[in-house]
Amino acid sequence: MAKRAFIDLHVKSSLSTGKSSPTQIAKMASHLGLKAIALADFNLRNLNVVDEIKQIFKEYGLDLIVRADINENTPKQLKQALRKLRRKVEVIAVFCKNLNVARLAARDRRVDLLCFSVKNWRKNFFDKSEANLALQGESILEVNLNPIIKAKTHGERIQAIRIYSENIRIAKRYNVPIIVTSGASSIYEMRAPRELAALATLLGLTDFEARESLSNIPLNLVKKNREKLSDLYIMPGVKIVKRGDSK
Amino acid sequence: MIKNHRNRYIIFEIHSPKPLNINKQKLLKTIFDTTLRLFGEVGSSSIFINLIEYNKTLQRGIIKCNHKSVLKLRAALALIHEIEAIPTLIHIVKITGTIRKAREILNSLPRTFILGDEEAVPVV
Repeated sequence: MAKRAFIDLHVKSSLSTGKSSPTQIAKMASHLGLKAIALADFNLRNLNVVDEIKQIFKEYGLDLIVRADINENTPKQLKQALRKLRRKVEVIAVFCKNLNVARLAARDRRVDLLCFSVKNWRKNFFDKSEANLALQGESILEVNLNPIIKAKTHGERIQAIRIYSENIRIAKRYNVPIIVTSGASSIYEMRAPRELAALATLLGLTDFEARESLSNIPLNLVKKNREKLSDLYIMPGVKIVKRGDSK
Repeated sequence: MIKNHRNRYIIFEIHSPKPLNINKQKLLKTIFDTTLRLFGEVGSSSIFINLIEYNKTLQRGIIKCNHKSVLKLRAALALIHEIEAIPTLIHIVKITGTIRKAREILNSLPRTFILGDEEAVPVV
């Protein structure tokens, strides 16, 4: 039986707000048994360093996934950001700050991941309607375990567990795919995939679902997006197999 | 009397930016506190935690637990993010069913693992 390949789709490095360098992250990820890491640092200004970091990751036997986080306040700003970034990065995550942004992000097919606040119930917009739209728009719910791991008080952790459990319940009911991420901003916040899966089981996922949300679901998402970004892609189900002579 | 549970031995290592100055008792107390917070008194009692071995210099050791509670203990260990105000990562290297095999694996691990704990230098 083939060994399962695990992916962490949310790690921040010193390219943005993280504390560890991409080299340190690559070293730790390879030690923890991950096969690919998505650095969530990229925007239009630092896309030129992607090749350099990919090379570093390759030395440790890892695959780098280029992810961009969008934190916009209005649907118009979100659309602009999506237009600029979609053809340049492999994964786009939208942090849903308000209801309008959440609804647009869920139904827009250019958005891959939906992230919601776990600090306040009023800012968690993942409900039945959102789940239905996410299913149609092929978006995935991201469960970032960092707020649970790093909670400073019991209250914060309880709140985060309650909100994530409710979101997972709704997502499972409406067949919205779920991915689990570490959301680490330093190497000491990273966790091995089996540990993340164990934490996810506390939120209402079964052991199998938790492992799938760390391996096959993110793997398929990245594969689909890479295919779309290739020069041979035309539309879903249609791609150039062979180019003929121009003469 | 028939034993109603089997044991699992978890080989773990602790990564931290600087060496942790804690002994076996203190580490066991940290793990107990975390499981107690997460699962309560009844839940923690079913895990049957025991810290069999801990090497303070190499920051590695073996924890014994009930075979049905491995997932619970994994989750609890993942939640420990600092010990004595030092950022910490507890990584489970391997889980075995016998103490002999666990000791073999623990002794066969490389003596040092340097993660590059120097301060991160921004690339851009």
